[in-house]
Amino acid sequence: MIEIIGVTKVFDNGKNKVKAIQDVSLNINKGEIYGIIGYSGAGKSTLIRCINLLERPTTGKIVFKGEDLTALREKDLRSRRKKIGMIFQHFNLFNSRNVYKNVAYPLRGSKLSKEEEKKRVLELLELVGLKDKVMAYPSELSGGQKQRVAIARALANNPEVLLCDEATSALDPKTTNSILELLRELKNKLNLTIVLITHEMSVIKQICDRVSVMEGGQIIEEGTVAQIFSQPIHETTKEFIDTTTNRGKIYEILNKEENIFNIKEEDVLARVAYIGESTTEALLSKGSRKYRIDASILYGNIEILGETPIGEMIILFSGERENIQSFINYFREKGLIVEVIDHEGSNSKVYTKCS
Amino acid sequence: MKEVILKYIPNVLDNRIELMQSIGETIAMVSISGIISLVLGIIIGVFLVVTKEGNILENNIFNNIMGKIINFFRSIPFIILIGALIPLTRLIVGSAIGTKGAIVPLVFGTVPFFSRQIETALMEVDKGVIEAAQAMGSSPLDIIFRVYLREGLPGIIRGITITLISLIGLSAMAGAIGGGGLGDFAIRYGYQRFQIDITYVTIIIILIFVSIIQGLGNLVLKKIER
Repeated sequence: MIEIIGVTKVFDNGKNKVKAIQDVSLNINKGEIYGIIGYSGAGKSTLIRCINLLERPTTGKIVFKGEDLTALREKDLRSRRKKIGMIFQHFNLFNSRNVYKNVAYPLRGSKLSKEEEKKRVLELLELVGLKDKVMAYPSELSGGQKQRVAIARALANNPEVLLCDEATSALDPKTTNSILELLRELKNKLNLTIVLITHEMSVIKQICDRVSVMEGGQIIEEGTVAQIFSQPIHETTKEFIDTTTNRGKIYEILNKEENIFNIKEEDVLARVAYIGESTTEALLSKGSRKYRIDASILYGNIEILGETPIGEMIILFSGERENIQSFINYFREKGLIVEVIDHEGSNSKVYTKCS
Repeated sequence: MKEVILKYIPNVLDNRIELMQSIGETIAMVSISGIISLVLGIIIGVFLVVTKEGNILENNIFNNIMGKIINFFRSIPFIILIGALIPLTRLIVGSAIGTKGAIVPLVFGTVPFFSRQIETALMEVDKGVIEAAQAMGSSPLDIIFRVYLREGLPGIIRGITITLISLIGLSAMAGAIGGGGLGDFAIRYGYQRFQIDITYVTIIIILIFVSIIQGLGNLVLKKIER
């Protein structure tokens, strides 16, 4: 649907040049919700604005439905933009217009009669659940309601893509959830492709199919949300995941002075992660019996991403070294991801996340 | 009633016909040069904003030249500007004196000030809203008329109010060099003939004009501001 090919964006104010995006290439498929996550200044906002050329890439191409947008004339670009809706962090509604006129704004010039226009606007407001606010002005609406108006406005010309530029960052958690639910619902109903950028991993977790992690203007990791959650590679990605789980806590506890878990030197500590089907098998008790190993779960967490369960545990194995190794291999055979955590037994003070 | 008037403002009574005439001239000068200035000022103000760096019709050279011209005219004291513009005034309206002759310098004196007012008003329009309009596929012309001029309307109204009030002041000055109007009237009788009651009455009339304009401005703002 959208291909970002080798895009670089340099901001040049005459004195110094800032490389906001460095050679980014991405493919966004039709009908998916694609998330881009990164800290402020990572370049994600510039990247999403390159997609509809609000920011013109310094080099590289943006291909939308097989057509290079960067090569189009202004007039043609404008007509393509009608097929790419966009919503913003601060909603960007027209304060001088009421809800009706905000939603009707992009319909001007679409050759609809007054009657048809009215029908379309009401239809859109129904879609976002704001039919009772037709005559209200933006100043009379809450943040969530404003974003709903913005969504209705962005969808007025039946776009195929919806770009969300930090669309929930100015909203409270409850409203964020309701807007994300709405986006997912609209995606299914209207067969939309959604690209969203955010700095909140919980947003990615809740609605995205695939995700890219951005840092320093580059994409440092990409994959399905399940992949990224179960096997994060980059340190930044792990940090983001830690913000939505308690995973980080366990390492804190392990690093404390007292050895509250009573870990012995010969014990093996490992992080075990699993995706999907392996959840249903009783691997832990089966393995424990088979290899005569005591396994205690120090920490466990399950995330449901879309419809895929993703589990993660920190397990302490006690028993014979060889048997522990076989146990771990058994896990690996069954498709589990096992990372052994370094430790130095009961006197240990350093636990690291490496495998 | 007549006794009171005779006692306190005798000269006004003697010159009441000329006073009425002067009021008419002031209204004519302010409204004609006002309308011309508003139209020109809005056009120039819009150009000043949209050609700024990073805006929808970015053009640094044009923007720079425009800015310099405006600053040039704004730095000339109005009373000197009137004199300097005499040849141009003659060329445009055929005469450099009288109410007609005052209109050209009034426009030149007002447009630069008003363009800056419009510029300020339009700069207040949230950049994000402009961006949203661009993302919806609006053309530059659409953005000017349907976003800038509409969203910036409260600021524009404020600018118009301030400009018209300052225009009344300028029109009194133009009167001093034969432009007619209340300024001329007050100077000729009140100042030159020491008929100070005429000066006071003129002040009150101008005060009423200013109040009406300010009142109307506030009324419109109350209606449109959200």
